[in-house]
Amino acid sequence: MADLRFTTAPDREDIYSVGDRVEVYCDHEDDDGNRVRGWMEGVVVQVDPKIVAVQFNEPVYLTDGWMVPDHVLWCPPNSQQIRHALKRKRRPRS
Amino acid sequence: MAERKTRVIRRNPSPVPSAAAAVEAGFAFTKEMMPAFANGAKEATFLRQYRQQAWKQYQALGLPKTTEEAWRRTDLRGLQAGSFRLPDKKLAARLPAVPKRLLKPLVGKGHGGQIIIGPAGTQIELSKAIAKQGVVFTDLPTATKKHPELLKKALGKVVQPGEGKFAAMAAALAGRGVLLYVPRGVTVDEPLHSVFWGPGIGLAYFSHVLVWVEDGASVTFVHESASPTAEKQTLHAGIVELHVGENASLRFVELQSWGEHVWNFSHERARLQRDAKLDWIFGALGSRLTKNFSEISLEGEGGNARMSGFYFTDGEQHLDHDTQQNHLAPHTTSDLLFKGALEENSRSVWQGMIYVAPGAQRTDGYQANRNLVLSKHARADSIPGLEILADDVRCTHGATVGKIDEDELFYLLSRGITKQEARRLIVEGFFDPIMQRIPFEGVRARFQQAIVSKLK
Repeated sequence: MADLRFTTAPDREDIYSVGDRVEVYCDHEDDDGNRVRGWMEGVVVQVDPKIVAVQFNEPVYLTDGWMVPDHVLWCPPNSQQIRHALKRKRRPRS
Repeated sequence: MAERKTRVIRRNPSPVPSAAAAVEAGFAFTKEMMPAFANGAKEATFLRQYRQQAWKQYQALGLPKTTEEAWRRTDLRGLQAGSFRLPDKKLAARLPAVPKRLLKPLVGKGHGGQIIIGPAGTQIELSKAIAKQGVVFTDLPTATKKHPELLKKALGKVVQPGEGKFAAMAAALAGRGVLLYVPRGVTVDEPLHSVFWGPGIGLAYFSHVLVWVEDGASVTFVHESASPTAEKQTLHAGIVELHVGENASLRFVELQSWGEHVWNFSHERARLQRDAKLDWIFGALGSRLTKNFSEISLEGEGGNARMSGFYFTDGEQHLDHDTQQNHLAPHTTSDLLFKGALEENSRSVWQGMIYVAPGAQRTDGYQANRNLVLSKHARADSIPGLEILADDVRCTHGATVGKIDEDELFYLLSRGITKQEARRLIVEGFFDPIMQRIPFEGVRARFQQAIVSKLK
């Protein structure tokens, strides 16, 4: 069950910190340029009690198809769509 | 959200007794079911008289109708009045016991005392250190036997049985309840906790909670009413009487987690003396239908009361809260904030009134009700009111009913947050101001569980 942030103690340590490498479940492009949905590695660029902002090198898309211009997606820290990076950073397409 | 302010002058009208009312109401309760008479019990004379008087008023009062102002938005025609019976010992043994999660401390890391009241019996715990201070924290039958003088002092002094059909019903029939007495000048450091557990269907539960905090004393008391959800109907009628003496302090946390088949009625009032302080936290998550009258009477100069209420409804739930802040003396302060969210076909009603008596100068009264409607089929009615009979006061009131702002939702979706998570974040933000008024992590955690399950 996901926590609601107001129910947690204020001194609780954040799950993610700025600079952490994380994976986010989102729409992006695979090596062949096809639009796919899956885990994509990025870097945490901002953390507050409610939101973690993650920046990607590659283009990312909303589920309705729009590209996110600055490559930054947000997630609640307790979201099931964000996790610490499990694999090596993806190489950018040549 | 658009701010709506009204200038409606309204007081709770006194119910008008009706001769044929008892028949009309159709409840199957009889005088022999009163604890004073059941099973050959011998209650003290004052208690028998109190119950007999209440029984007369119960018989005289009719089941409230929507033609009465206080009940205009709460229709009792669906109440299967004749189907309720009192739980007997044989049945009580088969009913589920109180789940352990309800027994966890809601305030702090532990309890100074805990009372668990269920159909099968009552368990009472009180730390020796607190008992040594002269604090009485016990259930009603024990109070009747061991502390009749305290019971006599507190019973019926704050809420009168004749205030309504269900108040009279509870006064006459409530064999279960809690008496908390804190002697003069005593500070109870650890919170006290009571749970009223009412499982089963077709049953009637009655409760009576009495809190008497003497002058200069201080205590935190958490009272929870709960049951699992079932089919059909169950009834609960209760009375809560709070007395806060001069320069005394009471923190009262009340959680209503009845199953969504329970028809719940309660009359509650706090009476504050000079320089008394009350922090009343009220959470309503359960029941099929609730009609609750909560009133704060500031009777002594310098009294200060704060009431923070929250509710979250779903399904077919109907919660009706009627609050009143009575400023009866000068230099008194009251601050009431009720926030609620509504899902599916549920409905909430909040009617609030600040009354300032003649001569109650320098009164500072505030009341606000904010509602977040999460479904197009849900409905929230919010009716604030002021009745001011003094000329040097500050009173503020307001009410809002709104839905999730599409721009806010879009803003979150535009960053890749799912719709479900975005809704949850917005609901969380909506309740944040009320949660900041509740310094008890256990209470917030209980509310969290309810929000998560209701938003699924």
